[in-house]
Amino acid sequence: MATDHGHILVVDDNKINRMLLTRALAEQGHTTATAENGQQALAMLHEASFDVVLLDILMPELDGYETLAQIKRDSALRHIPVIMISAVDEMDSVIRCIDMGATDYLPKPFNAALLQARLNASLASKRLRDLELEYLEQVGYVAEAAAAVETSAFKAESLDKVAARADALGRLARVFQRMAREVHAREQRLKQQLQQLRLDVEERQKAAAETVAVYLPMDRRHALAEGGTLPERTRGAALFADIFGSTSLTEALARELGFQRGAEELTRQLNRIYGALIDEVHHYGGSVINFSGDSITCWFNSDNGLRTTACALAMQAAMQQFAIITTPAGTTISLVIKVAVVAGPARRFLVGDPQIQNIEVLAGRTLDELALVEHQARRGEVVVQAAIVAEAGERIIVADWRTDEALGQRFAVVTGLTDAAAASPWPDLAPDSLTVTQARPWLLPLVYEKVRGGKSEYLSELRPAAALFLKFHGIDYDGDDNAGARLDAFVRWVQTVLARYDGSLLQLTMGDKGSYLYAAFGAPVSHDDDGARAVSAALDLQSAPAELRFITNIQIGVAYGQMRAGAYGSSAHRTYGVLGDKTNLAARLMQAASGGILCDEAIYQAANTHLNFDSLPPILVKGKANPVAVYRPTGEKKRAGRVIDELSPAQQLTLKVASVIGRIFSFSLLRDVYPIEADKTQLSEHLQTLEQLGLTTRHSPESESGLSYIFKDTITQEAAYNLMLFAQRRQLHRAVAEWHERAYAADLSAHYPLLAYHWSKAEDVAKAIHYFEKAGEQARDSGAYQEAQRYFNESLALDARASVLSSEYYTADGSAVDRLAKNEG
Amino acid sequence: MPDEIIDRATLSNLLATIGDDVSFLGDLMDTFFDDAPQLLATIRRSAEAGQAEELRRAAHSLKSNSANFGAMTLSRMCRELEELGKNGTLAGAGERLAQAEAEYARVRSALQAIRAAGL
Repeated sequence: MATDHGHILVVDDNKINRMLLTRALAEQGHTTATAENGQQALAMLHEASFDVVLLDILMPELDGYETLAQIKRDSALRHIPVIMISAVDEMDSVIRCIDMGATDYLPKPFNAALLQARLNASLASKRLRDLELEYLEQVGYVAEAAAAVETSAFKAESLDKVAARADALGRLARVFQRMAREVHAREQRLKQQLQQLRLDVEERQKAAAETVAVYLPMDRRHALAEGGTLPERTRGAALFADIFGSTSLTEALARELGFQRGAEELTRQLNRIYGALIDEVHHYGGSVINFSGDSITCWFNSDNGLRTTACALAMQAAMQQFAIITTPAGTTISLVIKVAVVAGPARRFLVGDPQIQNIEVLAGRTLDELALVEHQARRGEVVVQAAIVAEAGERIIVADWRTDEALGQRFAVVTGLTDAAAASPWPDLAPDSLTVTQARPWLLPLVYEKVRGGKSEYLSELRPAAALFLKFHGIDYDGDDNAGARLDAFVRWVQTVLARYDGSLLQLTMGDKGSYLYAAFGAPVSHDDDGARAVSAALDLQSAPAELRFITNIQIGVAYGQMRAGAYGSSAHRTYGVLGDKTNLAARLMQAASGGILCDEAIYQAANTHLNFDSLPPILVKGKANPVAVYRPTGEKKRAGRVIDELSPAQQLTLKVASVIGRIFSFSLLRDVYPIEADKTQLSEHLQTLEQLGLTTRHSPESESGLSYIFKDTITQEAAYNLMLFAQRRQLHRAVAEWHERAYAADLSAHYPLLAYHWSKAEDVAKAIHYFEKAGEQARDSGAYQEAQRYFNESLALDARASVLSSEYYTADGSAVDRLAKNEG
Repeated sequence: MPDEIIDRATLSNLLATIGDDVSFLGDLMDTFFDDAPQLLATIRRSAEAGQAEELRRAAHSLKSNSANFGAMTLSRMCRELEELGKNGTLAGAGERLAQAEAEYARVRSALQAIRAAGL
């Protein structure tokens, strides 16, 4: 048996016994203390910790019995083993002591081996008891820890002592500690992630605000940030810069890299140039007001022309780095600019429907002059209005004077300044000075979505699109105080017409030969009939409504082809553009249209199934070596409404009912909801007729409900739908909705959006809300948050209406409010 | 004759118990030689004064001490005295005490002789 060493208290009134035992115990490796009587012993037991007490029986003061009794009565001492010291003739006393709780006895005279054996046994039992006590104590700690874990107050360190054990309790404690540490670590991780997420969201919101803000002219950004507006009448200098060489670069890159990659590379190259030019504009305190083709028009408020001339010269200097661009295949192309500068009064308007897009306008006589100056400028030159040179005196170095004989005006070709005009850089805007909401109206809704989604950055795509240029007169930008309001009314009307065909107004330019606007069809929203849409829009735009009669001499050019669509400019200022060879052609056709509409061959090919065109003699346009074929649209050939008009009432009704169902409609559904029982037998014949007239066609694959059809185009479907009275539409939508509810009664979940749509069109608000919410929950649960938000918004919008008609709403589906009312009654 | 007075086996056991430390055994003997006359005096005084309990305790101590050194005859005599004290009948104590005193003298001589002989 392994020998434990203990701390022993020897209690004996006999000096020799004390000496003997002390010495004998020391021999065995124990430490000792001695007491001469019981009283002394008890005091010492309370002061120090002993492993065993050797207790004599017969002692003065307090004898062994009483001492033993007191030890056993004391909860702090009773676990200490007590070995009675006795002579062999005292066995009756020993038995009495054992009865009282003594562990053992040691006979006198002492025997070393016996002493060792008795002591070891006692020490071992004491150790066991101590371990047991410690175990119980530590079980208590673990139990406390378990409670603390539940209240999240657990500290892993509190179990360090228990965890050091090698046994099951130690393992339990270690499991607790690990668990608590893991929980804590996970909590910390989650907190960190949450914090990071918060930062990311903030970062993204700021980034989004900045990205959106770069679509605004710099002066507008500052005005908005300061909570102000820009004055409609102002003075300053205007600068026009036009980039040459992009056509050659386009062709070279398309040849070398293919159309798509070529377009991307072109955009990258042009954006580098825009970046360099726009940086100079901002450095001299100017703002880019609009982009037109490969040119920019800028405004330097309050400048007499000198600062703007310095900027123009700096722009030319910046262009040196692009004088020779080498394409991937080694073609060298030179990109150069010409710059024109004028100074004077100008009008600054903000027009258009903010829901669609705000359009920045810089107009007036000074801008007309800018066009004149620009005509005088050649590549690589800076040409400045004579008045600026006159005012600046000797400071502007004029290399040459150009004269327009017809106008009798002189223009200065400027090569430098005698002393550097002070730059006037814009101060930095704080990142959060403009909110996304403030800046949003300057972007087309779809472009905004892309920008916010981070998808527009340098994204450029090549896609077929139709370009529509419209020139108009009739607004006196200098003299008419109402010019802004008039222009705004006109632009809003144009935007509305364009929206009807999913076209977008991209530019509004004021020039000496009339103002013109540019719209595109096919970007950012595309359809397979964009060509026809552009012509239909052109026909609608040809004559302004009565309230816009001040607009005169509308002439329109339309062309169709591959365009590069995307963000143009730099990180400091950009715009969404749709540009291509056909953009230029559309502008040329507009100039040549003389009071009507001219379309190119591609438009004719794309739209002649829907529209009638007169073929006109080919014309020569600037930039094209050969005459180009031109066509003038005369009206809609098979305007869906007209064909529908010629149908029998029953055939018409078939088409109308189908239009309610959708672009694709099944025969069985059509038959079931068709409102006139008597005619149902002839439905197949009607559908055959509609097919023959080219309005609808068989749809394959057949749907689960059997035979189905599809409208050949959405225009026919819309026309048929629009011919119905509202009451009739409501009735048919209700029939379609009820049909779906019956047909899919077992599980409507796949039809929530459709049901919501039909019930809302049937104007059953309660049902519509019900299904919009179901659709919203479904979308939300599948992670389609935008979609979910849309459904919930629809539901909310209906809810707002419903609150007006609350009684109807609440009783319609026997909802809780109704029941509550009954219970309370 | 000393062997009859001192049981050598018991004395060896004592020596073993204290790790065969002869010098310490000497100390123990000196303590014994100091204590024993006092205890005998206490026994005599209490026997004359009729203090049975005091007599018992002194006899008990001397019994225990003499047993340690192997003085078994002295120890037996002391035990008889202790019994008398325990029973409270001190009659015959004087005679037994005289024997014990005589025996102690022999024990003392024997132990000193053993000590002088280097054990």
